[in-house]
Amino acid sequence: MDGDKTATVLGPTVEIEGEIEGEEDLVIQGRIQGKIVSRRDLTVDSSGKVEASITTKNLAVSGMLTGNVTASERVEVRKEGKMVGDIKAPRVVIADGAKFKGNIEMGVD
Amino acid sequence: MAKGENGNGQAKATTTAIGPTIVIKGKLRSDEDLVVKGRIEAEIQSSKALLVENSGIIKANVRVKSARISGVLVGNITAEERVEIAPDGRMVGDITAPKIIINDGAAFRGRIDMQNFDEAGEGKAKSEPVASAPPPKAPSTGGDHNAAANAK
Repeated sequence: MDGDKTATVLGPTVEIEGEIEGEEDLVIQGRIQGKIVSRRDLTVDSSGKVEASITTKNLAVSGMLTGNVTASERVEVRKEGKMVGDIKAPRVVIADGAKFKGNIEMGVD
Repeated sequence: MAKGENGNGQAKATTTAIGPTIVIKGKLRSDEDLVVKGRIEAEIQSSKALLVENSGIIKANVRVKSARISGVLVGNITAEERVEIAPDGRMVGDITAPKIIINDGAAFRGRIDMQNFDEAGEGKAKSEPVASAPPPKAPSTGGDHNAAANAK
């Protein structure tokens, strides 16, 4: 965590249509439509609904995500998470109970 | 609601704080208080309060219940209750609200419309701008043009 504790939590009633960019951890509890670029950790909480193309370092999905994800480290679809889209990341975790539809590319040759 | 794991201090359930490195473009709607420390180039619509902190920059039109600006806002504000520009706040744009406070030290350029100017009390604070009100786009000064242009 680089010792830096800043995190932005977009609460459950927040709806954004457009682009979000940031260099701090981002937790989404509301609805986002568009594009997200993060250099840190991105979490889609259980109340979160995201329709976006995502570029990030780490991603954890407990809510609903539609869109393609490119992560430089890790993507995890947690047990209550649902995701439709393609994942490109060196490490991918899909937990027991999670729902997922799409392609996964871990960069294996 | 908000997981208390972040450094947001008092875990107020209904506040979203947008951190200093965050940039948002597009459109933003919310029904909770918003604290902006980053940069927002997105039309904001909120039924609650907006707080633009020192490091916060907003370039867009804003429609909220109340607003307090300690950072920078370029764009027009329509507030149901009040707008306050703090001593360190800077704003270019038009304000429409029943209560408007500009503190000593604040920088402001634009037009102010306290809707119910001639009706004592706040009874009508929530009514839509009356027909007799000047059209919001009327360019009263050159500054408005800049405001609109910058807001993009």
